[in-house]
Amino acid sequence: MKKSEHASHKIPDLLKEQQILHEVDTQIWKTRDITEIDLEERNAILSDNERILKQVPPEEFSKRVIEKSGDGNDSSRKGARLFTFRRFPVLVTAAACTAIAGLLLFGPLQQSPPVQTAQDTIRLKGAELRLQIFRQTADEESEALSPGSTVHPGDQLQIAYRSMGPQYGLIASVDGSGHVSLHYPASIFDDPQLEIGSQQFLPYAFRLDSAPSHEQFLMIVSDEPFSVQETLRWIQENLNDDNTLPEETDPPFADGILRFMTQKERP
Amino acid sequence: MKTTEIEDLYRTYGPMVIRRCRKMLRNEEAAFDAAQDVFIQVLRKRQHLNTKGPSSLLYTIATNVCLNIMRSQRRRGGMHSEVTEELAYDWDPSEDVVLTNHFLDTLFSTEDTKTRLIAVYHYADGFTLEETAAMVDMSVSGIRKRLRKLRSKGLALREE
Repeated sequence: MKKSEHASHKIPDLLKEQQILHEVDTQIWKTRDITEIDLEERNAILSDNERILKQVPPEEFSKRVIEKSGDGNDSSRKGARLFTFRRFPVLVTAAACTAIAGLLLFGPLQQSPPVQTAQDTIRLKGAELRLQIFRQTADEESEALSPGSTVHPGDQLQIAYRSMGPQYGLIASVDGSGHVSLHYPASIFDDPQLEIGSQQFLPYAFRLDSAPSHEQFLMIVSDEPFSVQETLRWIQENLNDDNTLPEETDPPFADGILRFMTQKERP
Repeated sequence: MKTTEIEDLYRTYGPMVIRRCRKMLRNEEAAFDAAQDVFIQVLRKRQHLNTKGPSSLLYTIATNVCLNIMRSQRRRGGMHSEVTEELAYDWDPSEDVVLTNHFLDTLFSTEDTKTRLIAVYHYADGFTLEETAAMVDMSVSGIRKRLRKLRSKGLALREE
């Protein structure tokens, strides 16, 4: 039996769940003949719902989520994978507390700008755009990385940009496994509007994971608004076999792209 | 998002998320823990919740969170879940277990997040190529390409 045939005959759990929720997503299931979920199975799911909500009531779950997010009463904080760039001993302590989706997330700490060292930067033509990557050093200061710098798993990095022209921009990075991480804006649903004129530090720094080979930072800019989600997809679909975005590849919908490659040293 | 909104969201979708995590992680306590991470991520995507039924989004986030946990567990040599058993079966029941193990090693150690998600949806969950494409917001040809690449990696490993 071919796998695609096998797959089409199996009823995915999500479809069953959506039937019970009365939320069948027709965009997903448009090619499938949907039959009503078996009564016995429906009752089993409803019974399990009841048991789960009894085991951890909504009030308790909500409390745990808020505590874990480190957000106090406002759990709308932005910035997956990121932590505030401030005093690193604090960050390291916080790092032990929370891990989300294999990435580190830290509670909001008061920000203070990192010490600036020599500004090795990448510039777009016309010097209108600057992307900088800072790394925490052992003495709790920060150093500006140059393109081609060697980084290590566990390094804590902070991104800054300065745009004198383009109004909109996205900053992402691609690791050696081809995983694309969004750094700015904070989520795919946020407006990618840039602050113009002065150097802007992203509100959270982040820690490099152990993905191999490299971390390539990308800043894609435009004078017009664009879709963050589409842009991330464009990046993903245009990666080379070595999981880097090739030099000659520019997004058709944007005005320019900066690439900042760092080489990952094996732990 | 206010506490009451989290509670409402959990009341409606929490059990689905926990069932998903439980199936993938095979541990109810771990599932509750992972579900908290899922909801934290949902809070960041809350704008999306206003415009579309959240079950697909929550399911995808839950799958991703669990895949990351499983990846970490596998690095420590401890992964075992219903999903990996289904993956092992659906990868190709006629091929030997060495290939299956190689395949899973490849899948959970070198593949990017989206490819792992695609493999789980298609091989373990039973989504068709079209449904998988809709879930991950890619074209069907893109899905095919990823699965072909994954398979060729598995076969290459068998040759080693």
